[in-house]
Amino acid sequence: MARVETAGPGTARAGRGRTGGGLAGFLIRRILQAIPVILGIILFSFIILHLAPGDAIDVMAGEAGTGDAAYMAQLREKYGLDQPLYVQLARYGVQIAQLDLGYSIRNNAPVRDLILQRVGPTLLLMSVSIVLSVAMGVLFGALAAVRRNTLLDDLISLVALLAYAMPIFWIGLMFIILFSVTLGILPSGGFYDVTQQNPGLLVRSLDVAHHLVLPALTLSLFYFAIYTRLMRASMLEVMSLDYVRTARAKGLGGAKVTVRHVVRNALLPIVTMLGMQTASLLGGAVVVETVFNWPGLGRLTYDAVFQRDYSLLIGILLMSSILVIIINILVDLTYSWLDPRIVAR
Amino acid sequence: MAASAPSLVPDATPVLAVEGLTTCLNTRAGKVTVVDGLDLTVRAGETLAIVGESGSGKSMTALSLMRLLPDGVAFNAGGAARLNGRDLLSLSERDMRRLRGADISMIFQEPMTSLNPVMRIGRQLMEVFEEHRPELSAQQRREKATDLLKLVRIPDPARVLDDLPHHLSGGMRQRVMIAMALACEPKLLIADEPTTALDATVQAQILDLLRTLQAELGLAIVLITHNLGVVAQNAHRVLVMYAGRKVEEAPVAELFRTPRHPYTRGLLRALPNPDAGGGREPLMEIPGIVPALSALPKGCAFQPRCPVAIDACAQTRPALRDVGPAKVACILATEGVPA
Amino acid sequence: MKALLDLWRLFRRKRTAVLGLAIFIAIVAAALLAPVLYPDDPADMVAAPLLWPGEDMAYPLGTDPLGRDVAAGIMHGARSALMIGGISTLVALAIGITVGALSGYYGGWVNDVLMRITEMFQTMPQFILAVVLVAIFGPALTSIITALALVSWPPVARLVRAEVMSLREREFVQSCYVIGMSERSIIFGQILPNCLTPIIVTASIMVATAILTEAGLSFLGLGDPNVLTWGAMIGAGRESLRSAWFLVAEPGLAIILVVLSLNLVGEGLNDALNPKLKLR
Repeated sequence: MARVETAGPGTARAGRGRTGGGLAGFLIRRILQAIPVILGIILFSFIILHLAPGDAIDVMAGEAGTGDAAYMAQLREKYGLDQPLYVQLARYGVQIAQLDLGYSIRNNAPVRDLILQRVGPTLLLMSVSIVLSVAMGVLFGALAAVRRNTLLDDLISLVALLAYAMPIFWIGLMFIILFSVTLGILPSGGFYDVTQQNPGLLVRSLDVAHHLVLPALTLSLFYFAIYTRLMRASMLEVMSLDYVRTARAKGLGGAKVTVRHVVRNALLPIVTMLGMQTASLLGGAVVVETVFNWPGLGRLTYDAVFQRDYSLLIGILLMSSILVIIINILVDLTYSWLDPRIVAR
Repeated sequence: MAASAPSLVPDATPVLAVEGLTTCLNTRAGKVTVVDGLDLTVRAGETLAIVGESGSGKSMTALSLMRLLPDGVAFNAGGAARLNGRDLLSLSERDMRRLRGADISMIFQEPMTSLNPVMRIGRQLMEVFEEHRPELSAQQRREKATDLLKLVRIPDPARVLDDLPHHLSGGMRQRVMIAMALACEPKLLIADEPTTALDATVQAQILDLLRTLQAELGLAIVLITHNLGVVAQNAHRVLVMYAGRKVEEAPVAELFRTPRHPYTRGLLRALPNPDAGGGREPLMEIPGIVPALSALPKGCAFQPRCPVAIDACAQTRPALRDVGPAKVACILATEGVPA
Repeated sequence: MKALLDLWRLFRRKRTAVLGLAIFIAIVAAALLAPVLYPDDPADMVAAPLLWPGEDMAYPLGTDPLGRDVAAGIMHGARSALMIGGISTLVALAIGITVGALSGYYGGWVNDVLMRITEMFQTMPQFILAVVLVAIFGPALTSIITALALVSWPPVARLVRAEVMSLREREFVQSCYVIGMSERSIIFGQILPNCLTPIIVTASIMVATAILTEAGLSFLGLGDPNVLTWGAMIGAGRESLRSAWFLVAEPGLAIILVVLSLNLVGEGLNDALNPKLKLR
């Protein structure tokens, strides 16, 4: 009888060394990768500001109705706008490195403070929408895949197809008509009921949640469509893979195979897509906030547009880009948790 | 209990007895029969090899027995497959699930893709116990999983339990697959091209391992392969399939000494070197290709490619008949010298 | 011609794709017929204000608070939507194809720099960038189209880059070097025509996205005041949301129809052009 030898060292492991510094190294790599992108966006912002027809001083003078050239020159000197471009760029860079995003002359406040005041509600809206859209998308996409080619599948696919084609602000307005005007069960806008005086933390939180329902539903519907479609396709793909057959060959039941082996792997493209969609989601939040009067970055953007407050607009662009980068790193961490191969690699 | 593998004389009661297994495929062109009235038996400690080119229906046979045919694409259309007397084909899905991975197991062709890439090896192994041996504690499951990895000769088993599949080579992954298949001491193991995706030395190691485990555990094995070279040293009996049907069945020595069906002779001639463990070369030397199952020729399915066909071969489909110690479906087959 | 016929044969297998194409053709027809059916300026007051749809069959979709015909507005809006979506997509394709071809063909530092820039544009929230650009450079057609193009080229660049990188190593391109073809004619004559397929599919989706983004800009009041758009109609209708919600609903449905039809066509093209995916 042939003697079975334990496999030699050459065949034992393809890549045993789990180097790469683990999670910390992974994080550091991601942050280093982001630096040139941030620098590029700063340069880009600077270029836009200087290509703009007229500057903040023109706007101020126009609003004030004075065209006094001497006064305007004085103001330009005060804000360093009379310096050569490269000096201005250098100053801009140094300024931003100190986390100073400039001064909003119109609002008479530092841009950073204005943004920080508003970032909370936007983050709240975004995170709830992300959770909502991913949860619903995964659920319905998985359901459509498991029951493929049934009425349920067709129905889910149809809803996703329609939701994917709707302008976000239009969904918001239709929700207002349905839930606020017609049914009168949800507020049509605002962050909380301003007529309530000192209601206490719990009541206030519930009130904010109540106000959050429509904006969050509105913002999530479009992304729900994306994730549903992606999840369905991804599930069908994974369901045909060899290791799913292995799981069935072990005697696992349909539900266990689906949850343990299919869904988890099918989630990977969803998480990738989530990362790719962060920027778009933040843009969607801007629109939703203007529809629902939600006091976040979007509302701030809207006001800045009509006040022609360029430094505030550019500040918002910069901060929202950084926000996108941070969320993306968080998404990557989620990915590495779902797929341990990433960190190990 | 068992003697050394190839010369083993199996005891009489078959572990698996298949009669008239028929499997169909839904295609655009309509229903196509991919396994057509197949009979086979395997006894404890015995290896039955099913040999044929791709498209001959051998993998569909395996999936039919496991009841793992792709939903909506293929379905069982008749026959019985008794595992120790219980007909697998008529069990409820629930009862079948209890047997799958416990009494009847399967290993697949592609070890590189047959393990869940994001689940640790130990978890994938212990899943079998969770399903079939719920009475075991977590501790016991882990011990048993370690023992299994030892059984399939994986070095440093405790550590491999915490590995992800991509840490392991193809040969190691196939060992894990075997460990998983053997976890609940099955009566029957179906190995579908278990070594095709591996290189020659690893291939030999895996086949040696299967042979040893068979001797240790008294396993009945159905070994599916397109490579007759693998068959010689690893099987007791050989079943040759062509276009969904059995065309010859014989004890391994008999088949190699006196191949009676012209197709079997073609397969043997196509072997690069009958003594070697066999390579990965496809069997290209039989002229022509396997016919589309939706457009089988009248008479013998092999007749258009057959070098010795006569007019009568195109008239009626030859029935399987006893010729010496073999069963052959060829009207020209004779007792002694081949036609 | 034969290739086109083959494409059609594959395309029409999918019913939803054919439906999408039919809707799209109808919308193009509406856009073309708008000046014939409604030769007057759709911004003119033509009837009593706030007629509900169906109230007066001469104005089947109703009128707004200024007595303007909604149907005329929607048909003229189709013109601007298709024009802005189409032109901005063409500009975005030009940028994306150039960037992608250069970085894929030359690799090295060219690729590094161009890809960092691409990444930069994918990091800045597209809609916020468009708002900032239009707000700063003024709400005129040119700046709107430029802004839409600037926010939508990165995916094209990535796609073309990947295609070019794989095509560059293929035999037929290698043999172009051997016969001494210039780099420009290799890129434009040999490589790019071979990645047309995915570009066409992407383009149809890009037009849809551009129409959605433009509608958002117009809705925020950042549309060209001289051009009638669906987004602006919704923005204006918002004022009377409680009393006459049809003013918001109708232009919105028009947007949905265009976007839906383009998505369906894009999906159908994708299936028809990628035989591998057809099986699913």
